[in-house]
Amino acid sequence: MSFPNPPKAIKLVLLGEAAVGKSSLVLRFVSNDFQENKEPTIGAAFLTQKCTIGDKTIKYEIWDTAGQERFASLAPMYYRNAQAALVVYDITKPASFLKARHWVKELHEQASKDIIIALVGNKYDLVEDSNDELRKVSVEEGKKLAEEEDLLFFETSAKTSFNVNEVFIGIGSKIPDNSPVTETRPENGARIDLSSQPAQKSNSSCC
Amino acid sequence: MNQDTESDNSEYAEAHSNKSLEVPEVDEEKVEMADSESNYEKSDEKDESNDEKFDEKDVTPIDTSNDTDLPSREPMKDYFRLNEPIIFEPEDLTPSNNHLLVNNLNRIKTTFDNHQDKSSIDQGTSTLKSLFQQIKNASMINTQSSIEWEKWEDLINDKLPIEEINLLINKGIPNEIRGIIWGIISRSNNLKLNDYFYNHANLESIHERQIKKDITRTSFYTSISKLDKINEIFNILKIYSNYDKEIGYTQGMIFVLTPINLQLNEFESFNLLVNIMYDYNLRSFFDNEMKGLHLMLYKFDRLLQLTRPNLFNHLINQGIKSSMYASQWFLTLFSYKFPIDIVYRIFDHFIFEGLDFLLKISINLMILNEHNLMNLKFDKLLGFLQNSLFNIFVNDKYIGDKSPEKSVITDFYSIDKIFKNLININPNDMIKFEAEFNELYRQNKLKEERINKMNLVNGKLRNEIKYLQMNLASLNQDHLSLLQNLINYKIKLPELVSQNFELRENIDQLTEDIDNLKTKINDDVPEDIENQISKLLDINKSETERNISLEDELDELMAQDKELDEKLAPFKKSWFWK
Repeated sequence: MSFPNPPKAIKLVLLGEAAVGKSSLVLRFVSNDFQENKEPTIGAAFLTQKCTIGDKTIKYEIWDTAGQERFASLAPMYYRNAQAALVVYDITKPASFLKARHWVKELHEQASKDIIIALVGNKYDLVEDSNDELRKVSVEEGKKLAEEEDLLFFETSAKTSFNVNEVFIGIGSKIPDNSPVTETRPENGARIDLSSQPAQKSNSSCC
Repeated sequence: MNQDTESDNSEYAEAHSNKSLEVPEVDEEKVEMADSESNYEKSDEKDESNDEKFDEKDVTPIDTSNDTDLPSREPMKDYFRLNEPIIFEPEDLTPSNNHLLVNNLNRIKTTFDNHQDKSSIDQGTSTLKSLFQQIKNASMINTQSSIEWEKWEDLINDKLPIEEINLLINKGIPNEIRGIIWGIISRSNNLKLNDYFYNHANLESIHERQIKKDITRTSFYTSISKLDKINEIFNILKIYSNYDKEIGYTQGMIFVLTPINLQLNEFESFNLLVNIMYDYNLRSFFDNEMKGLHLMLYKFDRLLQLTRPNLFNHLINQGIKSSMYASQWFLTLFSYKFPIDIVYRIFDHFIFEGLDFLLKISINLMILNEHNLMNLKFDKLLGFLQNSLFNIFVNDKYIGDKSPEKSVITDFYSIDKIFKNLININPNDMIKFEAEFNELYRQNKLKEERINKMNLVNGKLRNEIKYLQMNLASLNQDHLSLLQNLINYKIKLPELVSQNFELRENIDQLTEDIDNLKTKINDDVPEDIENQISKLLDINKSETERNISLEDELDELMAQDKELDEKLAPFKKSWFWK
């Protein structure tokens, strides 16, 4: 008999230029859904999703922020205390990659010190089928930035769901396991030994 | 003019025939009394600690007996009654105390009276008024029309008493004349602005791309099927972004403009947008620091704290701030996610009562949903606040209906319920809240400045540290190699010392040898050797001479000896024989 660990809540914030697909990534991750023309986010949207990685369960509390420059002054409200951040850009829009650099810099300067950041180049579907003339930000550029700044790096497509769950699993596996999971259940007076849990490796399934 | 949604007027009338419904009758005088007296009984409603910074000594009761007056020009500090609890109760809409309405209509009048384009606004308003007449005439033929035409006509001609205005707009403006009324009341229809619109229609804007992108992904139209409006929206936003270069285009604007544009034509919509942005001060929401938005959120927090302390505390305990859910209400004037019929009604009130009406409706939504909200925890609570606040207004007959065709049904929501029993807002409190906010803002700014300064200094210091560290590193390297050398030398030293010693000994030896040799040389070879030789030669000569003389002597002696011998020879024999 085994009890799943109580899920560990992780505050995650999405940052990036307008219309790079932040809300779509979240929609894909949370509802496994996609909308072709998703309306712009005003202020910020909030969603949650649980994610099982090995034997640990993470509950993501996702803050999906508005991308337009004007709303940048609201962003600190959301990334303050965040344990994880997705900095999203559009691999067909070089300007969005510049903006991503800026966000990474700001996070390093202003966010909590051990925040885990994933750099995400979205809209991979547009360059699939060797349709390379649309790609404006190379994989190498992304990787290079990620290496320089110590970020996780993914190229994703919210549309085809390519690599989307991997981003959240990747972040989840990097979250340190120091959560005080010493919650005991008083029933039967028996302590539940959480450490000797049979490894029910559900192959890192999200959703 | 859009006429596709019918408003249900009979329902409003019914709702309003029973004004004091569910509402504790609160005597306005009493409220003001409690307000101005030092009343500290309600300790649970104590203001936040930062209020203490305000001076509370020179508090004088404010005379609010004349409600129609704008706040007088007394010193601001007279309004700071910060540590006194404000007694807030939902009041019924006693017409005379809708302060926001009175204030806003006064504000509009003052702005108009001082406007440089007064005559062209007058013209624009007349145009709308004649449009009103046309619609009225057309509609009067239909005897079943439930529109109170006389009242509306009195309203636009400034003949309707304020109490009646209050009641009239609370029922919602009939859709047939909605846009016209908005335009007339706000005095937004400025013909000069039409000229601007004409002249700049083809001017490009740096925001074009973003506007286009956002229009295509705004879901308003999919539900309203007004696709022909897309071009208008684009033109208006593009021209506005050139008209107001400082704000340009901001994403919330599309949501603000859409309900307007669904009620008015292109020019009128542009005019009203400009008016709302400038005269209603919606610009303050969209400027770089979004100060207006933060002020609105602050006022909302304070009102919620005063009206529903339990709910306020519950939200705080759950870690939920108003900025997390209410930003989108305010930035879009509630048009972001809410049903368009409700949005129109909110706009009706907004046009008449001004920006602070957003507080009335939002606090009301919180109050009406209090029971639900109190039972929810963090994420569910946030989700509810962002998406489900209007669920309680779904008409009873549709509850449980899984897939009602919302676009077809006009009475899906019991809209009147939302606007019933709106709280009343005292403009003096708004002034007070604003002063509090400004103080907080100022302090925050100072803090920020200090932080920025520190960051700057920090950055410089960090650089210096980096530089020094680099220096230190190279010095360390030097030090290390020196140390290594030192060790090497230390190892070599004894060897060298002993070598040195040996060498010294050698040197001593050699020196001694040299000395010896020197003395020897001196002894053996006298300096005046020739002298000496000549001396010696002299000596030798004399010696030789002496020798010769001695030899001669010897010869003589020998000869004597022989002579003697010979003389002695005879004797010798005898002597010998003896």
